[in-house]
Order: sequence, then structure tokens, then C-alpha cells
Amino acid sequence: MKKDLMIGTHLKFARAGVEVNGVTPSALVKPANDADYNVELGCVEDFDIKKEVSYIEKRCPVPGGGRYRTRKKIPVGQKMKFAFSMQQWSEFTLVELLYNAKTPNAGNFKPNDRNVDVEGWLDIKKYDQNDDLILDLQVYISPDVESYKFDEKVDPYAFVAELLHSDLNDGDLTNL
Amino acid sequence: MSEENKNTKTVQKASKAAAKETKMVEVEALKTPVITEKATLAKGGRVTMEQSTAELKAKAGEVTIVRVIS
Repeated sequence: MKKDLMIGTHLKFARAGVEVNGVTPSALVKPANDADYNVELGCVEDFDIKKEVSYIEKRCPVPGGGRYRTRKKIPVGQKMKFAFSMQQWSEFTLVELLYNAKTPNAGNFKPNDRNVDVEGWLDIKKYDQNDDLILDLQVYISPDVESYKFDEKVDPYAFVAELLHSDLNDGDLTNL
Repeated sequence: MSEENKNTKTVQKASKAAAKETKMVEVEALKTPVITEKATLAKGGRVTMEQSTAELKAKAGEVTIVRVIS
């Protein structure tokens, strides 16, 4: 099928190690219900999928000649990152990711004090211009927020989610 | 026995029956994936569920019961 697509993205996060409704998410445990993805990330302006694949290239001389050409590329490592431009800040994105702090206690936190990476399940729902669900992804990720300059322009900030391995990473494509 | 006492005993019996029915256990997945009401598990993943459901899944070789919670 072919389709012209304009996609609106919605994000929810379920943090690893934090129990919600009797489920403690981890790379081995993926929450089944939307309500268990309890960290709202706000309005997504746009998104970008970045893929890095490293290869070993097997090269050999062309038949009957001496010039070397690539005969085969063997993938040996791959990374995927989802980069989202976000309009709204939350305690999670401002304090824990941008200021690299532990979860604030009554609003109080120590900048750059977090020594354990945040992980969890990101639920990514993408709808087309007719509000039909096109992509529904649940991926185990390490989230981060890139450096940001606050000024009067109110630019979006970059929320970057690096895909981590889990046998439960999953995506569904519909209505294409 | 007064009517009030009878009603109290009936309520107590019903509560005990309900408590027995909703005994919760923690299970560990023996394969990938195991789909439960609350979560999808990969091998080694743990979640709590009702004992009756856990026993069915254990019989099917999907999970093992690791501890009784209540």
C-alpha cells in the first residue's frame, strides 16, 4: 500500500523499577495496559529516527582486474535512536534528564547527582491526518535530553531515546 | 441468633471466600513471551497474579510460581 502521511506522535513512559498497578517494568517485564505508562511527556512537535549500522566490508579485486571493490557488507553492530522535539517540560525531563538529578524530594534536588541511567518502556503512538493509528511501538529505551538554551524564543528541546535490547520490543503497523 | 448476627456471619463467610479466591502469587516466566493481564514477560521476568491463573499457566509450562504474596 502507498499513502501520503502526516504523522502526529504521542509518547508515554513507564520507568523501570517503579511499580505501577502491581507491575514493575524492566527489560523482562513490559506493562500491558496504557494506564501503566504513567509518565506523560507532553506535546511532540516532530520526531526523527536515527539508525547507525556498522559493517565489516569484504573487498576483493574485480574479476580479471586489480582494482578492489566492495563484494559484501556484513552488519556487526546496530543502534537506533528516536529523537523527538518536545514543547513541554515536566519534572522528569527538566530535573531528572536535563539536570541529571535523582527524583526531587518535595521539589528539592541536587543537579548532576544521578549515577544510574534511567531506563524504561516508551509507548510511541503515531496517528495519521485522519486520526487513524498507523504505528504503535513499545520499546525499551534509555532516555536523555540534550543541552538546551532557555530564552524568549521558546524553542523545542530534544528528547532522545536510545533503543536498548529487550526480547519484548515490539511494533504494530496498521491502516497504511 | 439475632438477624444482625446472622447477617454478620454471612458477610464474614463471603469475605473469607473472596479472600481465598483472590490469593495472589508471584510468577516467573519460563519462556518468551508470556502474556498476562498486567504485563508481557520475557523469560525470567516476574509479575504478580491470582493463584488460580498462575496454576493454569504453570501447568501449561509458561511460568513457575516463585512465592505466595497473600
